[in-house]
Amino acid sequence: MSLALKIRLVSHSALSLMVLFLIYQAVAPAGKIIYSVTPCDNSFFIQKLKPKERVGEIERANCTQPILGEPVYFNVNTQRTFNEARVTFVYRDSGQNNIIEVGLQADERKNYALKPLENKIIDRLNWSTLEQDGVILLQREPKFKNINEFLNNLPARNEILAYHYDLPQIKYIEGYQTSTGLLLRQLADRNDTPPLRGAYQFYTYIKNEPLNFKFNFSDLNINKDKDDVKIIVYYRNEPIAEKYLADERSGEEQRQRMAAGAVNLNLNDLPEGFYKIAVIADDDIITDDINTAQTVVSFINRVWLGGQNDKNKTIIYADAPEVTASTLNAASLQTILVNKQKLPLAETYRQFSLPTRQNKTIVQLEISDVIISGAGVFSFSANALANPDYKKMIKISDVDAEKVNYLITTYSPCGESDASTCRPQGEWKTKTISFDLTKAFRYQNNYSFIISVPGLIAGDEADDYVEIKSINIKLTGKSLWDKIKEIL
Amino acid sequence: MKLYIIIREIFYALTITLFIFIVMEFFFPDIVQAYFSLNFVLILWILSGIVLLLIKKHD
Repeated sequence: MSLALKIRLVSHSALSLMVLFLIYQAVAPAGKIIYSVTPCDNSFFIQKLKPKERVGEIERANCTQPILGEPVYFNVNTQRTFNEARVTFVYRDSGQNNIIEVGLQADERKNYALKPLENKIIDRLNWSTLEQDGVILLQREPKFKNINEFLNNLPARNEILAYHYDLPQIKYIEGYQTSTGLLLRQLADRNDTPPLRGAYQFYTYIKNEPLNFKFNFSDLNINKDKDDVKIIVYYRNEPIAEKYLADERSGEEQRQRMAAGAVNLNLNDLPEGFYKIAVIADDDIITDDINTAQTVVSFINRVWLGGQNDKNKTIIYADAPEVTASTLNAASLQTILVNKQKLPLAETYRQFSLPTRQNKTIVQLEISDVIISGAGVFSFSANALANPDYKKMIKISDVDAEKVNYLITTYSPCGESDASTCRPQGEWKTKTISFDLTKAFRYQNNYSFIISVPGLIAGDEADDYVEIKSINIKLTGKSLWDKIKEIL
Repeated sequence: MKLYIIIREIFYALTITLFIFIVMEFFFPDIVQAYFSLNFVLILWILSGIVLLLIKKHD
């Protein structure tokens, strides 16, 4: 055999092996693949934590990296789709932050489905515990013998706290007075709502009356994308009506604010109960006003007061146990009054919070263009506030101060890890969370994950952190043989 | 002569490798780049080509 032939044999064999390896890794014919990374690694598959401003320097000696602000994100790049990801974190934290959660991007609007990694408030409770099908009920005094008994005889609302568990919503408001029954329909076509920016959701309540809303929109044209608006009405979590307002594309070049049109929602013969209305729009869209005959208009979790340089005093009623304010507009910096306590909004692009631990909170703002958020509902008149949801646990929840006697959750201190591995080894903890990738948003071969640590703020005075030692992801999906069987 | 044959065969092998990897990347983005950069293959291919030309000129 000539020398040239020998070299060709070796080089072509090596090339063939390399191509086979690359195809094998991309196809993952068994339907399983594991990626593991430490902060020192430059992995193509599990990418670095970002943004850089919220993570500290990598400590090269131990290959660890602190997270200093939340949220941080990392992408997982896969050549094919998978059905499930089991994500294992080895981490430690400073102990100052009660809740650590990890989420997977669920849609293109950057909504993340969060799962609990650690909840120190629950970990510290020495209450009686019941477990059934992954649901855990903690009772201050053991009153219920099983979770079904608890669900069938729910105690008073203020005694219950839910964490990553959806209790059935309250169906009716006792003593509710229909707007049409009020004197001369004086509330019909009422407009309490100041201009709102971007997307929002709110609850309304219907009893022997039509559902009636008229939204007027305008488009700021700050970005050149299409700014369509979609409005969906939900009843008991099922969509029952939908309206769409297409962007007519004008004023983008001049960045001029333009009227974007109006949407009328009129639905008759609806059963009594709470309805959720979701307005899906990007941040270029301002809802100038919402005219309605409905009494209840309670915004869920967040409102962005969209008035530009609007110095009208705004009063917001809330039931959130903590009120958070932030703004992107330097002209909107101010001192907000939360139940007459001062909440200074001193910086842009930063959240400022004040715990209230009350069922009714009054927030007073002097200038608009501020985002007000919290785990509850917000309204612009006292009688428009109604919340069908049970109280949810947040980072400052205090079961004693709030006189909570029952806590229902899907969180368990070990997560899905084996009890042996979840036990802290020194300061380092190992915890595993599973995610359903079939419900995930995948963009350019990437699944996006979020690590959320409420209260962890980069650049604040607190010396708090969550330090990551390694991330291990076990992906499982259809095997090549399953795929072939599907085709045949 | 022996060195020339070796370098020539390396050049041929890298040409085929580069071609196959580019085709793979075209149809399945990142299938190769996930493990190593195509730039390295390209640099090696150019270097082997230059060495081959130099040896041929010298001979």
